Formats: sequence, structure tokens, C-alpha cells
Amino acid sequence: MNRIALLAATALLIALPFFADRGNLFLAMEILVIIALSQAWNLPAGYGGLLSLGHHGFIGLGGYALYALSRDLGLHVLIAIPLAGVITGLLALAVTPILFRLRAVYFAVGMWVVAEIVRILVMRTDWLGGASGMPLAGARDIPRAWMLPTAYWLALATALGATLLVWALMRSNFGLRLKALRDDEIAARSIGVAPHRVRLTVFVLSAGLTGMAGAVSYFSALFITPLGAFDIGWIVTIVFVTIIGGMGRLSGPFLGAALYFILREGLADFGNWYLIALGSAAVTVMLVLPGGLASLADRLFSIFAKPKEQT
Amino acid sequence: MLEARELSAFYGDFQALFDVSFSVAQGETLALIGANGAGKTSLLHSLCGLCTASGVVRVGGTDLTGLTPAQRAALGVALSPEGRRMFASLTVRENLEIGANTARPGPWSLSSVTDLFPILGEFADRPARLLSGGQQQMVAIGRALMANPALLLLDEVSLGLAPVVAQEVMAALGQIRGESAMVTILVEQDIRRAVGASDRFLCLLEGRVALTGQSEGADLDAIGRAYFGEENAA
Amino acid sequence: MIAVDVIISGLLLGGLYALFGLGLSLIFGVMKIANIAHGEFAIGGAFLAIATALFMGAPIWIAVMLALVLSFGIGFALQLTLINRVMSDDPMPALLMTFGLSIVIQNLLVELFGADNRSLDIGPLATAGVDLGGVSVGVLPLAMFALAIGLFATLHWVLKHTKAGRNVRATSDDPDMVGMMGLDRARIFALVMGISAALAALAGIMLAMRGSITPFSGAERLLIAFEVIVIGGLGSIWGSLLGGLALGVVHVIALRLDPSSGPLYGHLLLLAILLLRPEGLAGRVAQR
Repeated sequence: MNRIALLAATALLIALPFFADRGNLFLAMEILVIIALSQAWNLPAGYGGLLSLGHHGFIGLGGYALYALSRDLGLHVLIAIPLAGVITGLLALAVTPILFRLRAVYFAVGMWVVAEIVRILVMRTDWLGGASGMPLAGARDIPRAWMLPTAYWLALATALGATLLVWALMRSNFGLRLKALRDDEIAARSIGVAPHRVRLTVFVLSAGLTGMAGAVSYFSALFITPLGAFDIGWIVTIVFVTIIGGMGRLSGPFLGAALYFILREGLADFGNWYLIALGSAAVTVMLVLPGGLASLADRLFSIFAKPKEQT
Repeated sequence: MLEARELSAFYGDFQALFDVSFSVAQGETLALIGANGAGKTSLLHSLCGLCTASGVVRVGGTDLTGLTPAQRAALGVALSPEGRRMFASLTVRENLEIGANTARPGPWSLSSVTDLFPILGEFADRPARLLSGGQQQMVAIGRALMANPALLLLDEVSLGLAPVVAQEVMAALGQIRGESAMVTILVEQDIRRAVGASDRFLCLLEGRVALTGQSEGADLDAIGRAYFGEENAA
Repeated sequence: MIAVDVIISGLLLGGLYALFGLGLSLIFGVMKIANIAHGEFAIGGAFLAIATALFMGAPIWIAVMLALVLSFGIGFALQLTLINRVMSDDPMPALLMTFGLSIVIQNLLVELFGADNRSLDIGPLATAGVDLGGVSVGVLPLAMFALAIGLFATLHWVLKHTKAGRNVRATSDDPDMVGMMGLDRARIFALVMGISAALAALAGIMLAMRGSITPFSGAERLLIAFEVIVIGGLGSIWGSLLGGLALGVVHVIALRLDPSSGPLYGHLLLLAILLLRPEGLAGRVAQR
């Protein structure tokens, strides 16, 4: 029953480009990118307690990796996009020897500094178009009419792939070790969990997924600039979506993204007020509903499913 | 006097104390005896408001239910906690003075505490973290006394101390015993020492009262059996 | 060779950086949390002063005083009503909450003041100079530097020698025990956040006097404050002063040699320190 509903929903999402107009399709793609990014950020932050405020750096890196691979190596975009994710993961791996010296809040802000460094370096690199950015050379790989549907399908694949990956990981022994580490590192060590390796793995996976989602997003944009690709707004959206939806919950990014887009589209005529509303919503959720909308959904579900049982 | 009725203590989902009732008269010392995990510290914490608790606690007729630790401190509840819990970056003098923060009137002051523990006067300006374990224990007791407490709670004051140092600390406590209307509760692992330093005793087992009675002439074997939960303890 | 005047102007800028770090260092030290809204406290404080001076025509010193008092009140109130409620052994909820607050404050500033550059005009004093042994130094940066040093010394003295300072140190040592001393931890945290916000606001006001700010200037000040305390070494407020001075000198030298680098070399200094001396310049073996 449940499985059939999920399959039907997936089929509907795959078929969306055939009946949605361009505006709605673009919005759907944006939503899927945000879900993928939030799912990727939630993996280390929500499940592992390894919280980064510098993931916008990986979005930019993924985007620029796609543009460079496409222009300089002539790779087809459909190959270059996953490869951009791999490259981002590897670059993330390269900074861990320094960044993993920081713990908790220091790591979170330290990652922000790293994202700033990458942004400035990209802005100063003529090969990557400097401050003015560069166009997507591989735009001609896909026929014009199929650009947006392709971007949408790529976003759908990334969002569902990220969700499946997190789901599978959390059902595995690895997920148990990750959560044990978040809840009590000393106890986790005592039962043989290797903290460094577990954290490294989720961090690199998360960065790779983020890079790939960034590449998908900038594939549809056809042009990339450092100001946009490394914009702090990315991480703001990701953090708010995940908090509101529910940290460490699979359905969190979906519910949070829904509220994000409702607020953004609903307050589109009021400048930055949607960000004020979103920030206030995040703060409120932290105070009254620490598990986010996902926990509210769980609670409602349990009320309707078992009306008689009391805890 | 202190009166506790049906006191229960909780840490999250875990219940550490089950409906414990007892009372201690003015000026008396109650020894709290029990094995590790019997609920001794939980009982003290529930009196201080440091854990979730249910039941009624009255100190000198005042109901403490629902009050914060700070409000209870102002009413004269003072704790010398397990592990001493010095304020590590404060000097000995500052540690003592912060104990008097509630500004309750009474016999205890910096000079009377340093009369009781002369070494603290000598080391007044040293950072508390540089003191030995026994000296830190004296600071913890002195800090609690500085509050001029109506209810003095002493948690494991001899734990981890060399026997001769423990003796010294207990001797100082013996000096002040019965001098005022202050109610004292003393948590102690050593049954003989506990009974020797108190008017009455209360033995806890798995969060419940196993045995209680007068300390003078108490049957140490019976307490021992209650301590370990052997049958026919009473 | 790097000229003396570069070092001097670097140190003067470093005094301001140190002041950005001071308030954040206090928060880290006492509450063991990160206040991501620190930069917005600074910029928001500056905008409060600008608004009072510009729109109400108040004299500059009244505007500054008012901004400091209001900033204290805002920090105090936010801690008491919001942040205290997510404080626990886990510092992450507080980090996320202050992150949320920072975005709210930033965008409120955009809505109220627009995104334009603004500065706090203090008249001829802004450009006045004084000759210091052959090197010309601005009076304003010099006064700010002296004020920053004075504030470090004052905070040090207050923490060390007053009853309130003693209570704050005790809270930092063992927040669970201060209740038994009859102290209200929540109010002490609120007091510390208020002081931190006022210090941040003062730094923001100085920044707006020296140059210009926009509502988006907060993020970079947060990163500077963060770098100041990590470079200087956690655990001592004097470490923050050292970190601020080091960062200031590096920024000024970098801007002289590589004018388009922005804060790049300051960021790289942070990574270098983490790699070579993780405990910071003045730090003991600190826990992070």
C-alpha cells in the first residue's frame, strides 16, 4: 500500500515535464535541488552532530567543477555533473586534516571560513572567469527544448538519490555508529566506533552530494558567477529548511522545503520579509517543536493510527 | 526542622527515589547510608531542586515544592556536593565568599570558617584548583557553611581522601554538630563512621527506605544487612 | 621591507578587530556556545547609532550611548527569552538559534535602512592626524585603539575584582552549581549576552566611523571575531587582543602587497594557525 503510493508519486514526478508549464517546472526543479541539498546537509548535521555552516562552498565548487569539466575537457554534462560531485567530495576530503582539528561550534564556523576562502580564490582565478563568471560550454550537449526537463530530471534523481542514500545508511550498521557518536562520543568509542573515520565518511559523502546538487542547479542556469554560486543565502536556506522540517529525519527536508517555498512564493512581493518569516519560523520551531515538522507529522500519524493508546 | 513526605526523584525517564518519607528535628544530624546507586545523592538533589522530584519537602515550615535551586538556597538549603565541585578559577576566598551570596544572617563568616579550617585562611588567595583533595573538601564544606544554612547537605565528604585527612574533616564536623538549630544530612559510605557522626540514620536500598533508627546503640549488623538488601534486615 | 607605518596602521586596525573578538570570547568562555548573530549585533548597534544621529538629530555621543544601552537590552532580552531555552550540554541548538536570529536581524536592517552603504559622520575628527615620531597617524584610529585596550583592561578588572565578575567566572566554571549559591544562571547568561552585544555594538559603531557598513557587513565581522579568538587562543581575553592585533597587521600588509585580496590572508592565517599551533598564539592546551 505504502510502497504503491510511493511508486505512483515517483512516476508522477518523472512525468511532470510533460504536463507542467516552464515556470512550474523550474520551481519544481528548485524545490528538488533544495531537498537534495538539505538531505545532504542533514546527513552529517542531523544524524551525526557534525554541523557545517560552509556547505555553500561545496555548492559553488560543484557548479564550477561542472563548468570547467565541460569547457576544458569537453565532457558531456551528464558525465560532468556526477563527476563534479566526486571532485567536490575529494576537495572536501583535502580540507579535513585542518578542519577536523576543530570541534562542534568551532568546526561549524571554521567551515564557513573555508567557504569564504574558496569564494575569494575563485573570484581571483581568471581561468574560472574571475569575478564576472563564465557561461556553460556544454549547453549545446542538450537540445534547447530539453534543457529544463533534463535539469528537472537530474534534480529529481539527485533529490531521490540523496534521500535513498540517507535512508539506506541510517538502516545500516554505519548509521547506528554515526548516531551513537552524536549522542555520546565516549560511549561510542568504548564500543569500538572509530570517530574520525565515521565523521570523515559522512562529511565527504555530504560534500559530494552537495557538489552534485550545486552542479545540477548551475546546469540549468547556463551561467555561473562566484557571487551567486558561493552565496551565503544557500546555507541559510539549507539550515532553515532542515531545522523547520526536522533535523535528523528523512522527511524533514521535504516538509521544510515545502514551507520554504510557500513562504518565498507567498511573500514574493514583500522583498526580504520571507527570510524574516523563515528565520522566525526556524527559531519558533526550535523552541516549541525541536523535532521539526517531521515530529509533528509523526505525532499526528500516531494519533490517527492508534487512537486508543496512551503513553 | 526538615520534613520530607513521599519524595520521589527522576532523571529523565529514570526514577532514582521512590516515595521516601522522613523528618529530622532541629539541630540533629541524619546519616544517609546506602550502596552506590541506592539513591543517596538523588535524595540530596531532590531536596536542592537539582533534579525532577515529586512529594513535599518542608524546611522550618516552609514548603519548597516547585522552587528553583537558587530560591531554595535563599531559604537556607546548602550543599557540599559529591566530588567537591570547586569553582576552579576562583580563589579559596572567593569560593567561600560566593557561598555567602544569599546573605543569610548567622554565625558563619569568613573568619569563623577559617577558624574551623585554619589551612583555608592560609591559602585564601590561592586558586582553589591548586589545593589538595582534602583542602578542596574543606572549601566545599566551608562554602556551604558560609550560607548560614538551615539545612546542610554533605555528600560523601570523606570520599577519595586519605584516612587521616578524612578523620580531620570528620573531626571538624564533629565540632560544629549540635551547636545550632541547623539540620544536617550526611551521606557516608562507611557505616561505622556514619553512625558515629549522627543522631539518627536512614539506610536506602534501590531508592527506598530499608532501615531507619537512632544512631546511638544502632545494630551495625542490621544496618549492614539493610545496606546489601539481605532478607530480614529489619 | 615593510614600513613602520604599515605595522602601526595594522596594529590600530587590530585593536578594532580585537574588540569584535572580545564580546564573542566572553560568550564562548562563559556559556560555551557560539553566537552567530555577533556580527549582526555589531552592525545593528551601528545602525541604531546612525538612525539616532541621522533621523533624530541627536549629538553623536548621545546616539552612541543610546545604541550601546539598546544593544545591551536587546542582547539581554534575546538571551533571557529565547537562547536560554535551548541551552544544554549540546551547544548546537544555541548555534542554530543564533544563526536564525542573525538572518532575521540582517533582513530587518535591510527592510528598515535599505542595502546602501552608510557611515557615522563625526566631522573633522575623522580625518585629523597626529605626528607620532615621524609617522602620521589618524587621531580617530588612535583613540579607538586606546579605547579598545581600555575596554580589555576594564573587562579584565571587572571579572577579576568585582562580585558580579566573580559570579560570572563561577558560572563559567560550573553552571550547574551556581544555583546552589542562590544565583540565577539564566540572568547571568543574559547579563553576559547583554555586555557582549554592547561591546559588539561599540565595535560596529567604530567601524561605521572609520568606513562604511551595509546590513550585510555582519557576516564578515563574525568571521573576524571568530578568527581573532581562535588565532589568539581560547581561554583568555588577552589572547583575543593578541589575535586581533595579529589579524590586523596581516590584513594591512596583505592589502598593501595584494590590494584585491580582501580578507583572504586573514582567513589563511586562521588555517595556518590551526595547522601549526592549534592552541592559538597565547593559548594553553584548550578544548574546542
